[in-house]
Amino acid sequence: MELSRHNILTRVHDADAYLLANLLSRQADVLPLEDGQRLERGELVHEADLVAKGYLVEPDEERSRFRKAYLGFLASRESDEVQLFYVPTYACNFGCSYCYQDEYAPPPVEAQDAVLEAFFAYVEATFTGRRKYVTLFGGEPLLPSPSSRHVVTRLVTETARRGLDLAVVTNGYHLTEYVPLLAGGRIREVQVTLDGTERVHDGRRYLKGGASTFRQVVAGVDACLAAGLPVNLRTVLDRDNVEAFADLAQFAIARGWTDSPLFKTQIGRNYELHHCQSERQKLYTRLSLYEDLYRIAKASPELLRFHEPAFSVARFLFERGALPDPLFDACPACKTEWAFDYTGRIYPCTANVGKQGEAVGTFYPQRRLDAALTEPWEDRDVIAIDTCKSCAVQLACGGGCGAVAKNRDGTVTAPDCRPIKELLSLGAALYGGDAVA
Amino acid sequence: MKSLIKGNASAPAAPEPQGATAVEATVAQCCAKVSRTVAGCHD
Repeated sequence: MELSRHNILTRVHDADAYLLANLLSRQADVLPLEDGQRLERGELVHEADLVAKGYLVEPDEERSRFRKAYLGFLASRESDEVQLFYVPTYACNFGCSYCYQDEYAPPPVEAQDAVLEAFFAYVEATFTGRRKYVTLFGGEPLLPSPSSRHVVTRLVTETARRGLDLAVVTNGYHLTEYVPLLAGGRIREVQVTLDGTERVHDGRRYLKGGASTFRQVVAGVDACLAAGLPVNLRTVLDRDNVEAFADLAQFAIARGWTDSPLFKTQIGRNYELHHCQSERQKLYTRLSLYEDLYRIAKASPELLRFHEPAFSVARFLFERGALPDPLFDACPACKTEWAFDYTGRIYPCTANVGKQGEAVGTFYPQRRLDAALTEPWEDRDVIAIDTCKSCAVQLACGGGCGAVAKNRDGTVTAPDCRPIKELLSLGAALYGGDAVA
Repeated sequence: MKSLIKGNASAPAAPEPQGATAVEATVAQCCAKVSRTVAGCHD
């Protein structure tokens, strides 16, 4: 027997304990410091327990379980819901300091009724029998012009008519004016971005020309919740606004948002996607962001009423007392995610929609999908990426993001590694309580 | 060793769904998002 190649062993931050987890055997344990150190050196401790929990395995038997789990993953993905983004424009009324689309040079928007008809026809023909929903994306899709309102009206109407949910990603500036229209549709959620309390938010998410936006966005969130529309509040973090994250949490709590079952939050990291959108010194690595979130959450625990950072699978583990399914592929592009824009082009995902040279086909005026372009995305998983094959954290990381990997290495069949052990170490310390003390 | 798994049967097996799909796992570990609606899963 030998130690499983899927064991993840990490010392819990600021504690005399180790966390041992295995996404394949679905086990997670806390070990005293000395046991963890011995195991780290390859010495066996509690051998019977290690065997019983799949930490110490017969390699052939583990390979068989791996294959079975992989086949289960593929089957599950086939029945998974597909997210279909539609971009009616790349224009935006904001001039955010960190926009990753600011170097796009899209063609002007013409009337797009015919494009919308082609979009829905393509969706019906291509994703028949699949669970699916549409997400309105941009640019900024909720602009005040009659043409924007016309497109949104058609999307709200056409999705509802087909029994499809519609999600909306907006900067929130004109959201209040759109709420009555959205309330008449099948709105799954509205994603709005708020980067801090008023001064902080207005210092980074301003209108082109510099005017403030905080009060309009807040009014939009209020209007959504009052109308029964779910809100997913996103905060994009870097070193410039992270210290104010706890203040934003206080603001949301005081405003009653966190008491609403319709309200949830997520964080985004400001980082280089296609080009450097900000001064580099402001940007976090994945780990440094979570190190700061850990520190802030320890100092201001009420932050966790607003947002509980995931710390890889740590939050999931300590909330549910279980591990999630093994993640053979973190990248949904060309599998359970596609992006369509008003020019009639099809892209793998939101990270590359609108980027020159990234389209994989068209749905208007002709339908054409280039298999040579989609196949690398479709095939991408921890088995296709050589570096992932021998990595102990592959089933927690899933190989990361294909778009980031392609930007860095020129191919999607490259890893975008996540600091899983370090994140678990912090997450166990934050959420583990007495279990890891 | 102190197990963190509820109702632990202490036996490795091919994973059975436990209410968390692989996509939710993606979400849990890479985007901190509760649904895939949002943009930014690339991080």
